[in-house]
Amino acid sequence: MNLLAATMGSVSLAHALLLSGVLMAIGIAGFVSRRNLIVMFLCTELMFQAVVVAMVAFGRWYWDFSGQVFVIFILTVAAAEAALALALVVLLHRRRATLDADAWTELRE
Amino acid sequence: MDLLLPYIATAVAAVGLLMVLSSSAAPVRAGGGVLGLAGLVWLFILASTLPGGVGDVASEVFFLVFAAMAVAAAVQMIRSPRPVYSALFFVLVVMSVCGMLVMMEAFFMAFALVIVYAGAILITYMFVLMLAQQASEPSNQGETPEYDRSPRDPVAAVCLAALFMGIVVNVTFTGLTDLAPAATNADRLQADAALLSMLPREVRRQVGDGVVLPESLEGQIAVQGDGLVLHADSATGEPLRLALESPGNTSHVGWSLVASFPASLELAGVILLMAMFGAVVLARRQIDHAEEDLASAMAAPESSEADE
Repeated sequence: MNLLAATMGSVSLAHALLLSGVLMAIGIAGFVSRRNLIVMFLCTELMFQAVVVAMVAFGRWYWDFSGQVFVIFILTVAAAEAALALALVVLLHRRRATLDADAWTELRE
Repeated sequence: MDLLLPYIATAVAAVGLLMVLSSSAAPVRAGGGVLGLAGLVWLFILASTLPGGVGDVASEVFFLVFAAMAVAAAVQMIRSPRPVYSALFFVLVVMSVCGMLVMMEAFFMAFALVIVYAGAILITYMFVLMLAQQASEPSNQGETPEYDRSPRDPVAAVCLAALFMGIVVNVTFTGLTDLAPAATNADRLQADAALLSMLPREVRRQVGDGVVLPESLEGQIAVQGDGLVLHADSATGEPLRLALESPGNTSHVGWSLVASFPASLELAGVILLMAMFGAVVLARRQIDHAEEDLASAMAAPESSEADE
């Protein structure tokens, strides 16, 4: 273990945070620009990944494992969200036979 | 630190992303990809002068390779007109993120991410995608529907993303200077010693049976040089100094989970249970709809014959 810790020394915190930001930004861009319901949910999962990187980077910086415990909770919420969101998408797909988010614009009134 | 250059790099990357997203011509997309990559590389080079910097070159290089893979796969994921490809590119993103977690010594989370994300959640997504694609528009097989081919509003999307990225750049380039210092190697060994003193069975496993362990390990494990030592007595009563191995990442995460967040752990279980109930309720309603359709079809067979 000590050997591993010694060889896997340090990754720059700034790089990890910037990468996390880039992944989150791509997720936002995808969520806004895509019209397929399932791909929109995939983009939220991409944003979860960005948060995971930031959590682990800060946890490693302070050597505090709460960051990784939060990642476990993120996984839990992501699994629950995927199950519910996909069930809803299947339900909507049964009604309209399309995955287009624009097919449901009348919901906003 | 001057923020102008990082902002320009972010803007260059955003223009690249916009070219990738909005154009259907392959050369423009390739140019956008190169432009976006150049902007990001510039941004990362600018960031390498920040505090919290590079210690070990090998792990940093691996981290950057995984980072490039993650970003490229993420862009492909939001661009690809076929949702199945999007899902597969997302698997690549997850794999790259796992590589980065290994570089950041989060071994347990890396494996958990592969198993839960790439193994379970993505299979669910693929399953639903296949189900939906098979059912919709059987007439034009192989043709992606219009809503997948044309993005909704790429300019607004990229502007939003660039705005967010600008905030992240601002915070990263100005905030890291007044961050508390990173944990040193001595801090890490202290944390290892504190954890081992909570785990008498692990200590017993390491030292073997011939040693009399003190009643409480609190304060008995000390940091010596690059390792941990335990002060204990042998079976004949003479004092011993035994070297101990540090507990691994999994022990730390597990201890933190059950010792610091027991209530949250229970709450996570409740969330999963509720999600299961919710999914079952939704699935039941789906069956009801199918029955309604069946009933209406049975009630009006004449009209459908008249249509034919």
